[in-house]
Amino acid sequence: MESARQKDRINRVIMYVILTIMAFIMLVPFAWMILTAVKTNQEAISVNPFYIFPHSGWHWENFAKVWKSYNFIILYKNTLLMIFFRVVCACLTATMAGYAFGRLNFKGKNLMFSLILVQMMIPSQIFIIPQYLMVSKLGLLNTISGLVFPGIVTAFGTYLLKTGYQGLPKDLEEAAAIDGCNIGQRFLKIMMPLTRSSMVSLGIFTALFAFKDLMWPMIVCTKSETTTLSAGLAKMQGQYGSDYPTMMASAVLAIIPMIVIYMIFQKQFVEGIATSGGKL
Amino acid sequence: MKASNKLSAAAKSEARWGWAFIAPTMLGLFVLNFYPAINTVYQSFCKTGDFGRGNTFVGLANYAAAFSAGETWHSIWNTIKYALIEVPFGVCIALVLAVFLNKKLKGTSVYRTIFFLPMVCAPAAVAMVWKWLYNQQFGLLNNIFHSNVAWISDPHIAWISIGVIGVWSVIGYNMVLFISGLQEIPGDYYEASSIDGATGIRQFFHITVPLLSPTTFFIVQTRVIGALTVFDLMFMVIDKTNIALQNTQSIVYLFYTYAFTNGNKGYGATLVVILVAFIMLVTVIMQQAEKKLVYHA
Amino acid sequence: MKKIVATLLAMTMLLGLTACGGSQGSGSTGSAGTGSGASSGSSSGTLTVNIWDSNQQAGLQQIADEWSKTSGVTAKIEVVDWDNYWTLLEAGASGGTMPDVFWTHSNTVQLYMDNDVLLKLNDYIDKDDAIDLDNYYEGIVKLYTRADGNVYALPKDHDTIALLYNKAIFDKYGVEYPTADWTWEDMYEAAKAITESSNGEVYGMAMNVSNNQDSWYNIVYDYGACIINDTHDGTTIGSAEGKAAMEMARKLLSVGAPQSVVAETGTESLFKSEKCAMIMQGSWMINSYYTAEHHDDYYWSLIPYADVNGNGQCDSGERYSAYNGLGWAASAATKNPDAAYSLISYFCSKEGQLEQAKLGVTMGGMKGISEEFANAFPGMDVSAFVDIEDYDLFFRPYTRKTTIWEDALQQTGGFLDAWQDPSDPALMEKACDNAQTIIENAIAAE
Repeated sequence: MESARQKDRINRVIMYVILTIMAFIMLVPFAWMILTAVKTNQEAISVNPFYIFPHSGWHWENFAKVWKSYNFIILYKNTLLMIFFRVVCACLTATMAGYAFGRLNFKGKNLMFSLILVQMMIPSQIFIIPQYLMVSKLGLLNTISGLVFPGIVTAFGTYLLKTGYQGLPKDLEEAAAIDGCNIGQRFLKIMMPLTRSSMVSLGIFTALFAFKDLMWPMIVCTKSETTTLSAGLAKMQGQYGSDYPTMMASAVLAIIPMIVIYMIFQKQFVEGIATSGGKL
Repeated sequence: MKASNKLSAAAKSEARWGWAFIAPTMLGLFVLNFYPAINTVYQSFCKTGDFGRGNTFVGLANYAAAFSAGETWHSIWNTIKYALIEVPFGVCIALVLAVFLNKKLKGTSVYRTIFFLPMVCAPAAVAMVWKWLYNQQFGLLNNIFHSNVAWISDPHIAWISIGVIGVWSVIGYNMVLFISGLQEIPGDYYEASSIDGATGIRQFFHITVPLLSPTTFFIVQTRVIGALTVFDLMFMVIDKTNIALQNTQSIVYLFYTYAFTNGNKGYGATLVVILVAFIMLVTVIMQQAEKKLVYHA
Repeated sequence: MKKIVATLLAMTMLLGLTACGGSQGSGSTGSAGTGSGASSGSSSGTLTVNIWDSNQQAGLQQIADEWSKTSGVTAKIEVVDWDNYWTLLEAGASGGTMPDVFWTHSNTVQLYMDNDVLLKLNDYIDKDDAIDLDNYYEGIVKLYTRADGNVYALPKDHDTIALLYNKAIFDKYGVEYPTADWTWEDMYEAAKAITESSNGEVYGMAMNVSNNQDSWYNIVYDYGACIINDTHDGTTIGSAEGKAAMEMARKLLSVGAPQSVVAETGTESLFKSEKCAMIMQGSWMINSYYTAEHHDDYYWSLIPYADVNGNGQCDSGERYSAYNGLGWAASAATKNPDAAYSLISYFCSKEGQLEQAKLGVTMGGMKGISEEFANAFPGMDVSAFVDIEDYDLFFRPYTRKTTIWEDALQQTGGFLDAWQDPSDPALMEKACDNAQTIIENAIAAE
């Protein structure tokens, strides 16, 4: 018995050691990003001696400099608007369609739903060229609408919400039907509020996807004042690639908002990813 | 007769609502996905004129050019190599971490938060940071280890370096999925086996791995498809002038270059059709494998 | 709450409908786009100006503001990095919005001229007293004139190449400074001495072969070969002269920084971090070194020559510098063509060109004002860029689709193997033969 407890303790120690080493590896890039961001460029590229920490003081003003010269306010605004509209559009269309697929019976439903599944199977890269040409023809290049465009509807979200609606008990709706509520009222008053957690999952998924997407904003928003954080970073790297503190400061500014949001809504994030488990 | 009439009125109403509810989504899918998919296939048979003016139908010429170009095969192989690093390592490391974090140790939430962190960062930023870590002259890696490795510009090494970024980015995501899979395994299995005197490692291989196989398979499948369409990492880390470009650029990167940098949409469409066909093939193979490998309790 | 939801639902429907309308509009995607008409970028009173070099933004904005005082039109200069710049222009020309006024470059301008996306300037120039095309460098004017005589851009500047070295490193290893009499062999010996005596800590030289204009192109011409001939329909890179030149380039590479290092870090960072003693740079880069932390150690020298006839002095045809010139062009679809031309004219007039040189932005596209530029950097002697004009200049080689063969030259089957392993002369010789074929095939396919 004594030896089993001892063995258990050793196991624990081993696990903690491995976890801590991994956590350290995960954090090093973040730490190095911040440490570089507060150095001068000459410090960043000095090899001999090699500085881990800034050596001529911590240059927090690098952030202010980057903030001003790259118009981060506009990048934040564009990113936020794109995320907002994509989330609203995706949630609205998906909750409606998910309800219809999950709770209603009508002719053609199965055919339509198989189309949803087909869309989920096709890699999205095949849509990009024509989507781009449409945006271009509509004169939506370099606009928020252009950024939102491919995310107006979501097959994946529809699937997710359909599963959510299917999981709800049947009698809820039947009671309302007896009270004389029509389908629209039942949907709005009873069913939709019950799928809130699926909606939150979809919202988080959509927001993360939009935030991380690089190619679409890069091709539809070629100007620095219309683009998003991701694509903005790509432009900065092309332009000032060898000014390392500047690059790192902008990288920090680009990821900080999402990290803060994640820290606050951690539970929802993790659950959202676990339940949606989509192709992020 | 009367009853069935009434029923059909209700059914009609239900059908009306149903179609109204799915209309926005279906309309959107047709306009934004199905029509574009068909259009892309059509364009892959066309030669794009300067600045997109005047598509001329050229039959299979684009495909002939794509299949005879070394860079196409190179980039497909690069993409596969990337997947071969990202998927196995990303899955195995995440699985081990998930098992540890599922053990109700103290402080698991802190570890989980840390491991998940890369998931909420824009890949563009992640790639920039790693590019800086890897820098041969001034990077942290070479300075700490007193080495002089060209992590991202030696064609023999660069693909591994890129794969490592991929693993680092995806561990947290896989881990979260594994944890939720682990929580569905009933605890009695473990209790029963520890009474039989099974050790932790034996339990892992005899209970956890088989019972978790549906989750594992799901993760592998989504990650394989994700890895085969990788773009951001290569695009951000490997500059156009990097001599390792040919040995690292993914097929989507090549597609981007042709379709949007060189303005050759027709040829770009060809590359993307080849990619999609390839992914479909891989998906079918994986579905077949699922039947054989996944343990259904 | 219900109302809000209902409104949002209605909005979604509407969005769905708009998207549908869009699809009908683009039913014949890609065919017969008009390119014009879609332009909605500039309201009257403001011109959007795009450039790719952030080093020049401040100076050019200053000149543009000067112009705004008389014209009453605002010009906003925006920088887009090189790669994205061409994506942006391509997208603009393919039916989107182009900037009103922008730079053109020899790599791509042929395509833009052939497709009438640039504003034709002939009529404006005829009426404009400030512009006489004879005052500019011929190569640049020729570049921006189409075969039918239409002019699509005015010369903004011209650039030349010089050798930049770090005196502190030369002192440290006791190597003689570069002189105006240096041949490529001399440069090789010096680079070798520094690389060897520092045990590889410091590279004697670095050359970014993917930036051909300030590197190996110059050597090729010094040895009497060419990349693209004067009639733009052939090359002599595979000739004996071409091979001799590339052998010299190979030797330099073998004692310099490996291409893996250069590709990743860039010659500029290598030089500024004192990891490298010599690099060749174009005049457009001066300001970056002038304002660098250790600029006191930086000196410019005349680009080396090739003593082909072996008489110990530099004869005609033995010292070349590549030169290139950007052009100011306007979009054919601009809402305000008169203002756009007026801005271009101001940039390219004697007044604008002098101002550009004095501010140290770049040398002029107009001949005879290089002295002004040499004086723009007090404390740093940049006369090497001006003195080269007493020798030979060649215009940066171009054909109709320059980037096609330029890219191919850098890849496997081109020079890539030789760049990666400069210790093997046979690889370089084979690469020259490959290059000959690549360029000839590319020209044939144009």
